[in-house]
Amino acid sequence: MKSIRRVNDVPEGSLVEVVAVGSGRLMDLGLSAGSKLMVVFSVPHGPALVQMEDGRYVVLDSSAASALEVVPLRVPRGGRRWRWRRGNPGATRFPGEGMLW
Amino acid sequence: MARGALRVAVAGIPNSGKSTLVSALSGLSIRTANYPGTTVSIQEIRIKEGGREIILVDLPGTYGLRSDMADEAVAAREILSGNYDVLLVVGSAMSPEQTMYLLLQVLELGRPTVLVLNMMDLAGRRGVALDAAALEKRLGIRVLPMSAATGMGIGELRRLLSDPQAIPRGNEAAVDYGPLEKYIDEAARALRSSRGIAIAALTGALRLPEFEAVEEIARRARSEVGSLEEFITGKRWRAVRELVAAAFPGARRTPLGRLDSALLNAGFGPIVSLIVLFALAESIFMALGPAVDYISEALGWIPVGAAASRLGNALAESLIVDGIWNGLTTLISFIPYVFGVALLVALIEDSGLIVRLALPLERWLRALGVPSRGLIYMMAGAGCNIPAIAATGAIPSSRDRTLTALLIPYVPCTPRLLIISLIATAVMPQLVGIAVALPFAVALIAVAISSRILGSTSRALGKPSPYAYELPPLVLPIHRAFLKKVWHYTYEFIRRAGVLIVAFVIIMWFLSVSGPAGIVGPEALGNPGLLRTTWLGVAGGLFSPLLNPIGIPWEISAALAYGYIFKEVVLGALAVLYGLGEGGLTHALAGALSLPSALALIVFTTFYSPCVATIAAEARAAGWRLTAVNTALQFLLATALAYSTYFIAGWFA
Repeated sequence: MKSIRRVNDVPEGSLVEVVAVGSGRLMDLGLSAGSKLMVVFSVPHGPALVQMEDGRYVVLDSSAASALEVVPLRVPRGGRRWRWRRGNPGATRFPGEGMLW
Repeated sequence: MARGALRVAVAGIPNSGKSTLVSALSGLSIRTANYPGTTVSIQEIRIKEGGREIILVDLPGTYGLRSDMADEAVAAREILSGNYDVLLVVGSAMSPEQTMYLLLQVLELGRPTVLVLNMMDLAGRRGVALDAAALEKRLGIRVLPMSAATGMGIGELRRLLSDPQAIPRGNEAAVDYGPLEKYIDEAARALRSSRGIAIAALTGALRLPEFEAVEEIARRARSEVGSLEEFITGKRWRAVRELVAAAFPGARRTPLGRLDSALLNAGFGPIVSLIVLFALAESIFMALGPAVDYISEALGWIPVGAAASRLGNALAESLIVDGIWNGLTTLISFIPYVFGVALLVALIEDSGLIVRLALPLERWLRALGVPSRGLIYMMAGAGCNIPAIAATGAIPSSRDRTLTALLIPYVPCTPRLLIISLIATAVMPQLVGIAVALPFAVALIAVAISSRILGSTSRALGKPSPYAYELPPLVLPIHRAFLKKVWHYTYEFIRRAGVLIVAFVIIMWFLSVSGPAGIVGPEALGNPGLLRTTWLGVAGGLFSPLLNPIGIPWEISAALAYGYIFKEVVLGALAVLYGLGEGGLTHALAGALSLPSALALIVFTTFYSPCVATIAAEARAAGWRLTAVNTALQFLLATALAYSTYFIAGWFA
């Protein structure tokens, strides 16, 4: 079973599917349950930048990113996470295959 | 019969170049006023075309007609229920999807509508084409391709607005809501309103007196289609995608460029962002230096003193020279800073750089309680707080704008750093570098504390709301309309904050030549004994018991009271109180202060008070009540941190 995660908790380069859109604002930007997104930039508990299927890039601040629930479809091999707060700027490895987008 | 003025609401998506278009349409001045009951600024310009007056009301940018954000809520309210003859929708050819999404909602209101598709030049260079005829045919409105930056299409828009009878209402039913249609019709009949108002009422985006009747219809609709908001949004986006596919052949986005990849990087992006911000701010302030010097020199040549001496009355002469003229020269000397900050902010905002610089830093700034877009304004405030506060009007969120305006006075400005440098040079010459870095470290602590206090206790700031937006294109916005926009901003500052600044300087002059016993006379400005008997001297005396326990003598406390006028006058007042020239102050301070006292004084001086001009600018941005609370908070924090510094330094000394 695939786990539901916040979009800012998914490694950069991942392909994800939206499970729940947390606000009307995100709906106005064209996101809905089932939308597929490419995570371009993400910081755990921080902001995120995602690319939508039509090619648009959407910037999410920390609150908006934390409210957007997704299921990772593909995670890049050796996806790297930056974890400044936890004092480990090094990599945390996630399982997964190459990028899809 | 004379025709009345045509009222046009200018609505548009964020980053569509709407304000550039308004600047391009306007003359030399734009009237700005706060929307009633809010700190949201609405710009209004009046133009004449074909013998008819046209009033263009520039609303805040919005993606849709519902919002939790104060600015976008104002735009939505005005579009839905404002009294306008024409709705002008400004979209971006670089963002056709969001443009169509807003447009479809506006069309449902059934009012005369025009679509302006801005940034056509940029879109053309990136391979985006527009089939305007196809769009006009499907939507039934006039579509004007435009480039506000180059002026393309401006003339046609003016001509079109001069003949409002020729502006069609468009296709009100461009979106087919399927099973929801019957409920929309029913609600529209019950409200005797347009389709758009009915939809807004059904989804709760608009609260109407007939709410109960609509709620019953909405309940039945929900039982059939589920969440109305999701269903309606889904249908609109389906229509948007069809329209974009038909009218924007070949419109596809390019991948992120190298600069984007460097900035939008979670690893080294924050460092790159800080370097870019610092370099931009520093280069602007360095370029401003000579302009400020030339202006000061030129003002010095004007023989105001000689002219005033002919009055033969010392008090009247002082009023003119030390009060009115001092106020005017203060205002004039701010103008280069205001222009520079306006240029910096407009450059960063209009180029799309702001998002790229703020995003990597957002998490760090959030930990400090600073709005992510606020950083650039706070950096600009390191030169002079006033123009930076005035510039916060460009921040899109009402809460972020107000909070940033309240936090900027904690940033030490150049005159404060001059006082701090003098103290450091006098008492710890070997540690001047560290001493000058100390204020920034202390300011950071104070910002973190005050942002939490202000953010959590002030209902006036409003609740933070999640913020998401489409990444704007990266452009170089150097064109005529951009410079006109910078000028409008500078002019607006002079017109609105300028009056307050001059008035405050005159009031402060009065307080420094009069006291509890009546008029002391202008001699008090150069006589330490008399100075103590003035209102400002009395206020300075009140500082003394507060700062005396940490080893700061009366003369320094009293001089700091003058910091409420301007920080520039503190050193002059100190020289008068010690009966010295400014050159002798170093020795006087070295003899009067111990190392812990000097460090405590540096901390206190960093942000104990904003000057009157800062208070005026702050009040205009955040309101008088929040400004008063913040000014008191600054003083309390500065005092607490000064005492802490004194005792901590005392342990090590």
